[in-house]
Amino acid sequence: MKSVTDEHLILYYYGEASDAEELGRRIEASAELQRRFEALRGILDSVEEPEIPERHPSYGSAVWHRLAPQLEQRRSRRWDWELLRPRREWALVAATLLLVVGAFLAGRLWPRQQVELAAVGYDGQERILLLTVAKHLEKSEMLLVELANTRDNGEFDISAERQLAGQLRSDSRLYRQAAKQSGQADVAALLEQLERLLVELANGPEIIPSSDLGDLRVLLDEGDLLFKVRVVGSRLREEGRGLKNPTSEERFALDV
Amino acid sequence: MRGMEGNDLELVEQARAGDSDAFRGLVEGHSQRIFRTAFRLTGSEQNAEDVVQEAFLRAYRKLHLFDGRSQFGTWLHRIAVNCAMDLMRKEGRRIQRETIEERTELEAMVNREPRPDRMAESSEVGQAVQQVLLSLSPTERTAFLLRHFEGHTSAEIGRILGIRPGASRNAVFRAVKKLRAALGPMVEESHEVSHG
Repeated sequence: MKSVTDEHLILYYYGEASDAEELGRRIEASAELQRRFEALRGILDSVEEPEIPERHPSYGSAVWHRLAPQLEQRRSRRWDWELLRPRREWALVAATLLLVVGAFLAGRLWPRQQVELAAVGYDGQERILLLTVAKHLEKSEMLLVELANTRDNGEFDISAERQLAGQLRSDSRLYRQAAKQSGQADVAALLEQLERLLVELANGPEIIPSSDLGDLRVLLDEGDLLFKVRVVGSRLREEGRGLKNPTSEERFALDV
Repeated sequence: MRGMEGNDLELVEQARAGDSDAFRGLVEGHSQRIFRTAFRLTGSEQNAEDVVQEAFLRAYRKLHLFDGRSQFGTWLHRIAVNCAMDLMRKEGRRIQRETIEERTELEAMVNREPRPDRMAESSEVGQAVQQVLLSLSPTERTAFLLRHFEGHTSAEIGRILGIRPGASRNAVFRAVKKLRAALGPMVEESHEVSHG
């Protein structure tokens, strides 16, 4: 440390100086540093915590009674973030997905190609895949709609949405790769467009100004992304419903 | 801080499954502490009450994202701090306007004829401190108060506010600099009186 700055002294006061021992010795050895540190200490010591008003022991109960009606209102909404809750069962679906999604995209959604899958349970697997992709698009749509519809002044905490975007981004990448490998450029392009937005959200700051949400709205409008997501999602859902009902295990895995 | 962290995790699981009594348990267990943090940051009883309410609403909404890597109390504290920051930002314009009046009053207080009996009163310095704190930006004020009163490190403050540790350190530095600029003469005089 060449010269001791006020910032060094502040960190030292709070016990956060990286070289506290050396700094302590230098302060002790220098009248000038002692004077500066004492002046700083005088200021910071004068910042005393204001008296915090006492709350009654039953305060927590009072807070709950004020809160409960609002939570009830929230539960009764048409949809909630809870719908987007990642499910443990997802791991089961994802494992199946890795194996067959390429074949699924190549063989069922678009003109049939030379795809051979085991006959047993093929429709069930397909159904899971169709509905899973549809559900993925639905979740992504909900996330984007929620953000785009947010009207708030100042800055906005999107840490929860950011985390969710990270999860959806990984899923989206998987589908996009599969679509690309099977030569379905239009679906791959849609998933790529969606993925770019999810990456932006997932890698962006947790606190963003409301102007950024305005930018998001513009992006969604310009690319017709929401419209495309809805159309493709709806098509996959219809395809899935046209297939044989899944087994109870498959139903459990997908929670449908 | 509390022996109920294990119990908190159970309550979180039950609340996620739709058990409102479990969420009630979390509210009742953490309200007092969240109120104290909210009051420290906002300096107002009414605003602190609003922050408590909003923090629990947000926690409820985001409960499915609580992954258990941190304690529930830590997670909730972070939400409450960010609620307080949002409230401070919303009130920024009002506070800025009031700050002009407060600054004038503060300058008058500092420039008055030295009166040992008055300057030695810590309550007057305390009042001036509160006025300076109100004039800080929400980030400076929050980072400083978390550092000064709650003893969080720069890294912890960075995590709470979603900024880099360097940025949280700089926010504390700026806050201290402003406190020194505003309070320096007052505190030095007070010091001289009490020692002279």
